[in-house]
Amino acid sequence: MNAVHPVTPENVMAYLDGELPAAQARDIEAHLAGCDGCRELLSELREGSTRMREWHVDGPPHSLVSPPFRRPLPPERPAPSRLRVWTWATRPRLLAGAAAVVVIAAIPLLRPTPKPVVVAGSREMPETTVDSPGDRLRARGFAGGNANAAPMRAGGQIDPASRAETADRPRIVRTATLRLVAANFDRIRPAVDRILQNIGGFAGALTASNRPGQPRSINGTLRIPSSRFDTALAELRQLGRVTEESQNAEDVTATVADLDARLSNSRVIEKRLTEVLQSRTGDVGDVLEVEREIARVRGEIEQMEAERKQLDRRIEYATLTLEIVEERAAAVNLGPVPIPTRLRLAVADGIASAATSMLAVTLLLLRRGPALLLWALILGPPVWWMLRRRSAQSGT
Amino acid sequence: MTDDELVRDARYGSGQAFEALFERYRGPVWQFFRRRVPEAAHAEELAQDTFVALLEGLNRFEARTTFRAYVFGIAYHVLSAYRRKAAHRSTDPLEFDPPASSPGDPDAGLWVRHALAQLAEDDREILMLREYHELSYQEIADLRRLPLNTVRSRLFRARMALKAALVPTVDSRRMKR
Repeated sequence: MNAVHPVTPENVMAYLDGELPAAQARDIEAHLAGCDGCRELLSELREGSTRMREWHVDGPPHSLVSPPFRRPLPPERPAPSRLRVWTWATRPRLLAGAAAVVVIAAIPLLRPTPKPVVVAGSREMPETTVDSPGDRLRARGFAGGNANAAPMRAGGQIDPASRAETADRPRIVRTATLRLVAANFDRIRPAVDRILQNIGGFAGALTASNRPGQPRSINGTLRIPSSRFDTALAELRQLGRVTEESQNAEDVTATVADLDARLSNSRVIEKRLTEVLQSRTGDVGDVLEVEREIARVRGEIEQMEAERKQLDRRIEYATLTLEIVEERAAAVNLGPVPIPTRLRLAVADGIASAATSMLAVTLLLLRRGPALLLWALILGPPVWWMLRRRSAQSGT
Repeated sequence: MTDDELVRDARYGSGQAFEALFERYRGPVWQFFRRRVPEAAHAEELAQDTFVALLEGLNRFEARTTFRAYVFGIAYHVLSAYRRKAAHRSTDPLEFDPPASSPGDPDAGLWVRHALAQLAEDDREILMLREYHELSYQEIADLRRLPLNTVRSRLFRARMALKAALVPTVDSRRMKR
């Protein structure tokens, strides 16, 4: 092939690889029919590909397994920058003054309506920062990541994509109550610990009770990664006989979206107020007013950030109220009881019953006595008078 | 289901969809590293890292390219990071690959690896991405951040160089017969 050859070697290769448009491929095909050199090249290229496939490698090892699935993190997008526009607008002092007036006038309109957000009383929650590198690292280690956290952008106005994204993904706070009766109580506590360890959860509170004469019990609040909540429930159910179970899922998608919007608005306001302060237009009174507004907005931002963090923790970690009671072993362990013991127990039960009934009557009198006395004082005289009159009439 | 459908489901929280993607690419990703990393344990670790990164970045995948190219793009970046860390190794990893298990001629894979090791690294990568992972020219160009025509010319150069490197092999095989 020389310079006037209509087909380049690279085109022959591209034809072999199926990388040419159909029309060009047809041209090459037609050319190949009459060109020995290009056919030879084609053959060599095919031979090369065949030879390369002689290098086989073994299949993947069994130990190469899929990483535990966690919902993927949302894509990171740069925060929308409004700095350039604002810089342009603030350059002339006149415009800066006008902007200050507009912003201060608009503050009452933009001030978000405070909405209470239910915050979980998490005492031993692991410290997580929303969408932080630490979260991603934890997610990589498959423990305690914050994969469900929505993006919180520093600065910028409300990002419609972010709001749509948040709205698209349901944000659910899950809670459940599980009550069990367990026969082999000694293995319960280690089993609960093991389950928590396996699923990456933790105990918010866990109390073991072992009072004399009463069945042993474990009460606690477990915090479980929402993604593994069902698994945890299934494993916990295996520990005994379920006597009560209830589940609740609270959709907080709207709350999260609203909080994000308010947070974003407040950040915009804070940014603008800071710009206004830096321009230092107006008299001292105006400057002080702007500083007060900045302090107020900053306080609101910090409060909302804390609320958002708490909300994310509630979403990420479901709450399970667990109560496990030992199955009453008394009936099994008592065996044949001697008659004197039974008589003594009966006497003790009788005395206890009498004391209980006396206490109950005393309590009843204390609780209802004043009311009864009052009604007796009100109703007693007329009734007494009527009875006396009736007896007098019957006497006559 | 197509890759794109599985990616969409995985983004919505379907663990089964991601599992299906993993099963689909488990072998190719493993082969990608096994052909480039001397030790099998390292290859497995890098393949695992690739799938972790894939899961973390699933939302970053855009339909501008194929998911297959996206997977190998991640694998390539993981490999680059590994090679940077192992930069003190002056020898080419391909020289130290374990003997291949070829069903026909047991030496065939060895000769191919030896021939590949003689190519320039860039050319070799492009050739391997094309031959073993069946990426298109455009996908290779995107992955290597090269112009399309450069990929084409380097691929041709690599194939010619491989052919030249394999010629003695052919001669020796003829002599054996």
